[in-house]
Amino acid sequence: MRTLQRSFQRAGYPLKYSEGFNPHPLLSVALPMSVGISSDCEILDFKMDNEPSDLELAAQSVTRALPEGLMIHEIYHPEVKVTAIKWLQIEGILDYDTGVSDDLISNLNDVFQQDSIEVLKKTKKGEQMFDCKPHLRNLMIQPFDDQKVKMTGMISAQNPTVNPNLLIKAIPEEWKPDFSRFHRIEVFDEEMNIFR
Amino acid sequence: MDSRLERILMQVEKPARYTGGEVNQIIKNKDNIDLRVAFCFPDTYEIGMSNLGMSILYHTMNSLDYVWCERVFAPWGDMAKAMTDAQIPLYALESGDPISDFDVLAFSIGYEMAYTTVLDMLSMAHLPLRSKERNDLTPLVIAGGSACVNAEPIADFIDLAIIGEGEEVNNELLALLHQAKASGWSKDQFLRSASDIQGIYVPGLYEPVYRDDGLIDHIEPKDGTVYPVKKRIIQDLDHVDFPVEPVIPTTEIVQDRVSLELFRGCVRGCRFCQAGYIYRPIRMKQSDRLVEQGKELLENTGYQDCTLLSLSTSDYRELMPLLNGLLEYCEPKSIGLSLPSLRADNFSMDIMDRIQRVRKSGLTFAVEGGSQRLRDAINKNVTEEDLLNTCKIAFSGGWNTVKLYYMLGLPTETDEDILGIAQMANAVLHCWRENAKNKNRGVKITISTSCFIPKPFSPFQWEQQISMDEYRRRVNLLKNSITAKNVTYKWHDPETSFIEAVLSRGDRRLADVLEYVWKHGGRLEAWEDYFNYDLWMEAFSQFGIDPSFYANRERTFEETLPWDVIDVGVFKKHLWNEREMCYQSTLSPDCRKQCSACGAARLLKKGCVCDS
Repeated sequence: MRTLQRSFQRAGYPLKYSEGFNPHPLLSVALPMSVGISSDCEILDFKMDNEPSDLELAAQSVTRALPEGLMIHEIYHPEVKVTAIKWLQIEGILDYDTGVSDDLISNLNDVFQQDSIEVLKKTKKGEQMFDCKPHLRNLMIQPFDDQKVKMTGMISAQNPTVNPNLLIKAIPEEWKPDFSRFHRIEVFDEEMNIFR
Repeated sequence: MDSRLERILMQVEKPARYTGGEVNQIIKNKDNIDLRVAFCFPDTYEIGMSNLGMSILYHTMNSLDYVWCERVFAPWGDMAKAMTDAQIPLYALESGDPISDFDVLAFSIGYEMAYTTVLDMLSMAHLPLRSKERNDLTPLVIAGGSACVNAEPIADFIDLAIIGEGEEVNNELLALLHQAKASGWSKDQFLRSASDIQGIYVPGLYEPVYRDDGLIDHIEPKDGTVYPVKKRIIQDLDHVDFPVEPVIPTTEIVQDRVSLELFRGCVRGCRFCQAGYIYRPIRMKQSDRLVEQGKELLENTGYQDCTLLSLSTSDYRELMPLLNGLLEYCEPKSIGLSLPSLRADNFSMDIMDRIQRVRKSGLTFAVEGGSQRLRDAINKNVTEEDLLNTCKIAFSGGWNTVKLYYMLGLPTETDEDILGIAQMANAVLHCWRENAKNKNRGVKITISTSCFIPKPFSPFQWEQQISMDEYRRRVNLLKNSITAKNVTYKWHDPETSFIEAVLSRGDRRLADVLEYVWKHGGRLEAWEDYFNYDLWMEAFSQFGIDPSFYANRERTFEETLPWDVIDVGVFKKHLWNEREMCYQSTLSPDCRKQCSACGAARLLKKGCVCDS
């Protein structure tokens, strides 16, 4: 958040601050990511001090001020609230250091095609069993290379949030990858329309 | 990114410490680089990135086109272990390259408790620890910073130390190394040549000769090497290179703000204070230059806070023009200004009014001593009246948090002085009752004490530190004399202060102790999380070293001190006179009232005077 706020400031597009005893910039990330996840589709909700006349130019300027690897695709006036985001299209690469065995992919696909996928989920109230299945769409495992497989599909972005790491948790020990990394591709609403 | 690293970063706390990639980091094409410098800070990223000196010297070293200077910090315990397990050597943040292949490892050491972390970083870089085990010209291991004015405890590990301010001397040294590398010089040849540069101390060229009683008889310079080694300073702070595009951390650091340095040195001469002597002579930066740099820094970084750094901000001659200039820019943008190191004696209503217009924080005063007699003895020229006047203004201005810092164990301290601390806290409380604007909000007065550590190049460099038991007795005395419930008392444990006292006035015989502590897991010893007192005691006994020889022994004027090899500018005789005046509880006037001819002006170019 600090990084984003400072980037807007440096680019000459200061954010609006809240009033009150401890002012903070009016800026929120719709779907905060956990550490280690990459993304092409983050939605940032913010208010600017002065509305720029050229939003495209503003997006370019702020991108130049951002740390390498971060870019603003578009700045626009929201018509729909970010609470309307429902689905998140993701891609995961799962590492198997000793190699991908012959039936690994079908075994993994079987795991995710079960009627229910129960995992232990940490919530504010402590750990609870949680069924991921109703909150997944089109989850598929595909070949990638000798030591990696690729996971693609949609996960529920909010209410409830499915952290991709829960999917790894759902994999039985014998097929668990040595490492996994996830990437967010796109956000959709309830009707599977791209959210903007 | 290295795939081993990618995996590790997922397991450790605060991985952003270890990735680099921040805005304004300096990336160069290594094919065009002759010298690669690993600028090593023997503490965490958050501490090192908050260090203004590090930021300045990163920039000045990179201004040489044949040099690429990169940053290296000490990994926290979880990361250090993960790196060791995965056999990942210590790497530089910008390139990700292992620093063992670099030409220079330059350590910035600001406190003695970081010594073992220096050893750990050398080891994590897979380098031999001792200078004499590294035979090649490169990698050269150098160190600078205030904990190097007495570099003796680490003398065997480093190839050379930079004494004083590094902006110029670092680059002179790098130029010499550039030449040495191109001409195929031996390490010895290079070090001898480097020792001719003012501000460069090559420990290997000096031999302390010990007497039977353990004291140093004299320090022998080899083959006519210059003795003593004179400190370097920057004479003109207005024109020295200063970075206005610093690296902006992506993760939160300790000092997450723009820092402006108002001046170097101090006019006060508090007798316990090493900084007050080793940074002399006083040299200031012009306020218009500072306003200009401050604006530029705020524009370039997007920071919302700016802090004014110096040893005694109230003594900055152009404080009002500076504040006016900065506030004119900061206020409309809601940028906060903070002024640490304000003195209670001339803290004016005007200044407080000005900073308060933006943001309000608690007040902190370093009172140091509990009675006027003691404060006179240590030359801390703050009166109770000054403090209470300041508090009066503060309380009526709506402030309600006051912190008072003291040291226990200062020379000449008596129980009466300690009881004076509690009395002063009561007086502050009474002042709040009489002046507070809104009593419903309550008041919070905090007293903190730490155990006094005598430091080299201060007038108390000959003093003994009180024993830990005696410190605890004094803490209890104070604790039992504080009765008001609005007054909180916090005290630092004496163990760290004891070890720090040993190291700060230590000599080369402590090298084995440092290596032992490091070898048994002692790293990041400045952190309570890691500090291991028993390990230090074990190390002392292992090598038959009595730590109280260093910490609790009073020295005579005639004794050769391990750091006599260094000339910081101030005469030893001046320090001794100041010490004698302590025992007479006599104040010395500050430099501006009357020059005491302390000797620091010798560092300036001929015909120049201090503070101009």
